[in-house]
Amino acid sequence: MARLSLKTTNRSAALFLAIFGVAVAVFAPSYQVGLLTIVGIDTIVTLGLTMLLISGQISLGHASYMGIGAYCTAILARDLAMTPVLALVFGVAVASLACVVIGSLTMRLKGIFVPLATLSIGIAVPTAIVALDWLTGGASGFPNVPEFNLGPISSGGEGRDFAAFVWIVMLLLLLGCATLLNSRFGRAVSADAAHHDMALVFGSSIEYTRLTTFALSGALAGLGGALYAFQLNFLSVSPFSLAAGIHLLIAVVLGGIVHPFGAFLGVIAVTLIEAFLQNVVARSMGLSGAAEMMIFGVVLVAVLIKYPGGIWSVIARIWPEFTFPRSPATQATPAPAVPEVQPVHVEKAAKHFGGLKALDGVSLHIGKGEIIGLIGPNGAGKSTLFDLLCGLTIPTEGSVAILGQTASKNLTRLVRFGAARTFQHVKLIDHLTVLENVAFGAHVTEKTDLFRSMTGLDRAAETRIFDRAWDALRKTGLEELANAKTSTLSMGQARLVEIARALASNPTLLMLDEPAAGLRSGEKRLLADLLHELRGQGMSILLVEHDLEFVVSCVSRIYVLNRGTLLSSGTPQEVQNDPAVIEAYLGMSNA
Amino acid sequence: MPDLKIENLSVGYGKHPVLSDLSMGLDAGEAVALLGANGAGKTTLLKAAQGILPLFGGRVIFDGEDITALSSDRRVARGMVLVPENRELFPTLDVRTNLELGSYLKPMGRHTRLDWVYSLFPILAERSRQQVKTLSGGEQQMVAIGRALMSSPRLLMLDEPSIGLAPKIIREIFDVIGKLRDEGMTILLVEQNARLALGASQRGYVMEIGHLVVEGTARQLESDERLKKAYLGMNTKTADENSP
Amino acid sequence: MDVFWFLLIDGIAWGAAYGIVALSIVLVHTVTRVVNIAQGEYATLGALGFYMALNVGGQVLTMAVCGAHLALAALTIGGNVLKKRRFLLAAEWNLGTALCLALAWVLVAATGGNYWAAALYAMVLAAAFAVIIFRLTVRPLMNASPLVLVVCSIGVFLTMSGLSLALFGAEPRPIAPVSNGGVMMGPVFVQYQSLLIALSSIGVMAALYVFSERTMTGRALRASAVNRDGAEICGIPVLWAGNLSFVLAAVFSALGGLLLAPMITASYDMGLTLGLKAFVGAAMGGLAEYPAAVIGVLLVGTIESFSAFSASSFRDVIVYTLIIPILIWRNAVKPPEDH
Repeated sequence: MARLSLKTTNRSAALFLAIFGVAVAVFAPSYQVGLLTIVGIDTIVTLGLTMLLISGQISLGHASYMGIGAYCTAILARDLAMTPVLALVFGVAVASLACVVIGSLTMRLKGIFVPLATLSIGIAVPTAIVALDWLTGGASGFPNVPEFNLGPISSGGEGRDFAAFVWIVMLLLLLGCATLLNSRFGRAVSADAAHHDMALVFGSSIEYTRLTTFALSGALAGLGGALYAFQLNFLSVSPFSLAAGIHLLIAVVLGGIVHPFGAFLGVIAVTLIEAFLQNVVARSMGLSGAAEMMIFGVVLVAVLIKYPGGIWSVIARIWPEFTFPRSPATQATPAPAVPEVQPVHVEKAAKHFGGLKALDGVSLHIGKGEIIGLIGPNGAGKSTLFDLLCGLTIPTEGSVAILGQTASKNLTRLVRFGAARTFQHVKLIDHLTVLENVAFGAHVTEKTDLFRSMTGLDRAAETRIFDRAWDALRKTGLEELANAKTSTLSMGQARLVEIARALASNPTLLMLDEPAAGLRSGEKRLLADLLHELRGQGMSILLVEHDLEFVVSCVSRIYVLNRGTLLSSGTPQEVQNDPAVIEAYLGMSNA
Repeated sequence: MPDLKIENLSVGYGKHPVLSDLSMGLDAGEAVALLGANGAGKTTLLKAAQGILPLFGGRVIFDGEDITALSSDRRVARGMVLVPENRELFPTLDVRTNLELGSYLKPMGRHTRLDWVYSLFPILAERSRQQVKTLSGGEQQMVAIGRALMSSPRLLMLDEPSIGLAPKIIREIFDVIGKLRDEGMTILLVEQNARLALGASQRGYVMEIGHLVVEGTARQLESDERLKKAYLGMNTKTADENSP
Repeated sequence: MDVFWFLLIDGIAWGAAYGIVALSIVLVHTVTRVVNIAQGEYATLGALGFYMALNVGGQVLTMAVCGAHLALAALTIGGNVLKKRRFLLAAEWNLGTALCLALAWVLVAATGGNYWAAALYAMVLAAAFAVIIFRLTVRPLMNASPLVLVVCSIGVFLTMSGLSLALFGAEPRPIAPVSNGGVMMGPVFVQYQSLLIALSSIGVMAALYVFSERTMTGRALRASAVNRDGAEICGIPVLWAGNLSFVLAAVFSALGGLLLAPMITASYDMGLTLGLKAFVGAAMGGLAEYPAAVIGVLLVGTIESFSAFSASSFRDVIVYTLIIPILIWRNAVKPPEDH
C-alpha cells in the first residue's frame, strides 16, 4: 500500500538506527557509549527546536528550556529526594509550561521582534540560573545529581543500558514527530506557517496550533535537559547558555527545517565537525576555539545560502522514494445536506475606513443552488465586500448574514456552517502534495489531539479526511496530480486545487475569488462545467471575477459594483447592455 | 524609429507566466495607450519594461540598445521611467524631497526641472514642505508623475494614473499628460478607462489575458467592438444586436 | 543622593557607549532589513585594530584584507565580462575599500602609530570587513525572509568573533585613554574618556541627522528605508545604498569600540555584550528610529547601573527580561513593518 510506504520508510530507518544504537551501547568502548547518549539527548532537544521552526516560529534561546528541565529535575531528585522518573516528568512539565508561557507572549510579536525577544530569554534564563545560587549552586555548579533508575535501566556505572534507553526514546520521538507532521495537526502547523489567514478560514485555530507546538517543543527540550542531568550527575550553566542555543540552531539549519529526522542529521553533522576540529585542527594548529566559531559560522552561512533545506533536502533529492505517495479512497463522501436558511443575505451593508466609504449601502442576496457573479472596475469595493462575506471584516452599518450567521470577527467559525472560499493569490502549502493540501480543507470535519496524532491512533479520522480529499480531487478532475508537489503546478491547476480544498470542507456555499485568472480557455470551460455540476447538487456559489466572458458563461445573475455602491444587477444580458455599466468600464467619453 | 521595442517577452511571478511571447513597440514621440480589463497583464508588462520583474525570456530594446540585462536604475539613467499604479511614494518625506529624489541620477539642472514640475502642478509648489502622506489622492498622483519627470525621461510609462480619483482631478492630470505628449515625450499609458486613454493617445493596444488582441490608431479602437468585448466579455454578435 | 547621581551618570555614560552601536544597528536595519546581530563585532574590530595600529602592526592583515577585496573585485569584473555588462559595475566598493585601507595603513606606518592615524585605520579596517560581509552574505540573500537574515547574521557573528580570536588572541589589550583624569560634574567625577564617548555619540547622531536630512545621498538612503520599490523606481541603486549603510555602520561601531576600549580593555569578546545591550536599546525604538534608539540605550544603561547597585547578580536578568514587556508594548503601539 502506497499510504503505508511513508511509515515503512520511516520505520525501517528507525529500526536500523535502533539496532545500531543498541549494538554500540552493548559492545562499544565506554567513550563511544557516552557519545551515543549525548547524541541522543542533543537530538531530542534539537527535535524540539526543529518542530518549532517548521511551525514558522523561532527561538534563539531554546537551550534555556533545556536548562529549566535539567535544573528542575536535578533539584527535585537531589534536594527533595523525588523518584528520578517522577522528577523527570516534573522537569519536562515545567520546561513545557515555561515554553508555552513565553511563547504565548512572543507569538503575538511581529517580524524581527520575535528573534529579539527569544534572544533576550536565551540570556536572561541562564543568568537567572547563576543568580539563584542558593537553589542551583550558581556559578560553581550543581553536583551529585542522583542516578536515574527505571526498572532495570540505570544511569550509574558505564551507563550502557541508559544509553540504549535514551537512544530508543529519541527514535520513538523522531517517529512520533514524523507521524505528527503527517497528521491533521501537522497540516494545520504547515498551513499556519505558510498562510495563517488561510489556516483560519479553514477552521484551524492559530492559538491552539502554536501553543501546542510550543508545549511540545518545550517538553522535548526539557526531556533532553533532564536526561542530560542524569547522564552527567553534575550541572553547570554553560550547556544552556545563549551560545548553546545558537549551537542548537546551527544543528537545526544543517539538518534542515523540513522533516523531524533533520534534527538527527543536524546533530550528527555538528558532532562530526566538532570531533574533526578537536582531533585534527586543534592538534595541528592549536586554535580550537577560534576555529570552531569560524567554521560553524561559515558553515551556517554557506548552508543558508546554498542549501536552505539542509542535509535532509539533499538526501531527499538523491532518494526520490522519500516522497510518499498515498493511495486513492475507496468510497465517495455524500454531499452535505442543503440548509434551510438563505445562504447569503446582505442588507444595506456599509464599510468605512476613516473618512473613506469603501462600501455604501450595498444589498446582495444569493439563494440556494444559485451562481452569482460580482463584478466591477478596479477600486469598486469588490474585495471589501468579499472580505465582509468571509468574515474578515465586519460592516460599519447594515447587516451581513452568511448561512444564517451574522458577521463576527471569529474567522474560524464560518467554515463550520458550510461556507468555504478560495484565494485570489493562491495560498497553497508548497512543500505538501496536492492531496495533502486538499486534505487540509477537511480540517474542520474531524477532531484529533496531539497524543493520538503522534502515535498514529488517529487513523480512522485520517482515513475519513483523505476520503473527502480524494472525493474533492475527483470532482475537480485532479486525481492524476494527487501526489504532485504544489510547486510544480500551473496557475490553472493551482486554482483548481484551491477549489478542491474548499470542497473538501463540505460546503454548501462556495465563494470564489477570481478563480479564472491565469486559466487557459479550455481550463475555463472545465471550470464552468464544474460550477454548474456543483450547483446541480444544491450548492450556492459566489464568483468574484474580472473575466466577464467567463462570468457570463456561468452565472444566473450579476451584481455590478462601482465606487462602493451597487451600480446595476440582473441577468448577464441586462447588465452587459446597461449604459451605466458600459460607462463605468469603458470610461467617460469626454474627459 | 522605434523608441521602445519589446520582443518575445515572457514574464511572470514566481514560476507562473503572466505574459508569454509578447511583442510591441513605440515610436519616438508617440503616445500609446495599453488597454484591457483587470488581470490582462498590463502592469506586469510595464514592470518588465522597467526592469523591476526578472524576465523569463525575450528582449527589451530602448533607443536602439538592448537593455534586457540592465538593472532598473540603469534604465532610469537612460531615460525611461515608470509611474507605478500604487505610486510608491515616500510617505514620510515631504513633497519637495520626493520630487528631488526623482532626479537622484541626474543632479544637473535639478532646480530648473523642479520649477518645471511646479509649473505643471502648481498645487505641489504650495504643498512643497508637507509630508506626502498628508496629501489627497490626486495630489499624491501628481507627486508620483512629478517625481518621474524629475529624471528628465524620454519615455514616460504611466500605470492607471486615473485610479481612484475624482473626475475633475483626472481631467487636470490628463491635461498635463497631453501637454507632455505635445512637447514630444514618448508616453506609454496603461488605463482601464479606455475612452479617456484613447483621447490622450495616437495609437493603442488592447490586451486580453497575457496577449495583445488588437492594435490600431486611437480612432479605430474607439469604435472597435473587440475593445468592448475585452472589457465587458460580451460576444460581439449580441452587442451588435443590442447597440442603439 | 550622591549615590543616585553617581548611578545616573554612570548609566548614561554606558548608555552613550552602547548608543553608537545602537545607531549603527538602526541604520543597517532600516536600509537593508538585516537585523545585524554581528554589529558589535565591528566594535571589537575597531578596538583591536586600533591597538594593533598604535603598535604599528598589521601589515599581514592589511595585505590579506586588501587581497580579498582585489579577488572579489576580479570575480565581479570577470562575471561582468562574461555577462557582457559594464566592466566595473559593482566592483567599485571592493576596489575603493582596498585602496583606502592601504592608504590608511601607509599613514599609520608613516606616522609611527599616531593616535588619530591609528583610529582612522581601525575604522577603515571595519569598513573593509563590512564590504566583504555585505557582498558574501547580504547580497545573495537579498530576497530572503527576515528570519533567514537573522540566522545568517548569527553565522556572521560567529565567524567574525572567531576571526578576532584567531587574529588578536584571547588576552585583553590595554589601551590608554585619550587623556587621563576628568571633571567633577556636581558631586560626581566623570572621566574625560566618558565625556568623549558621550560627545561622539551625540556627534554620530548629529552626523546621521545632517547626512540624512541635508545631503542627497542621505535622503536616498532614507528613501530606500521608507520604500524600497519606490527608491528603485527613482533610480536609486538599492544595493549600493545597502552597501553604504553597512560601511557607515561599521565605521561608527568601530569608533564606539575604540573609544570604549580604554574603559573595559579591548578583547575579542567585548563586542558580544556591547552589541547585545545596544540591540536591546535599539529594539525599544523598534529598530527604526534614531532618537528612540538613543533613549532606549540610555534606559538600558541606567537600568543596568541601578540594578547592578541594588541586586548585582540579577543585573543582566533584569535588563534582558525587561525587554519582553517593552517589545510587547512596542508591538501593540507601532509594530515593525512586514517588508
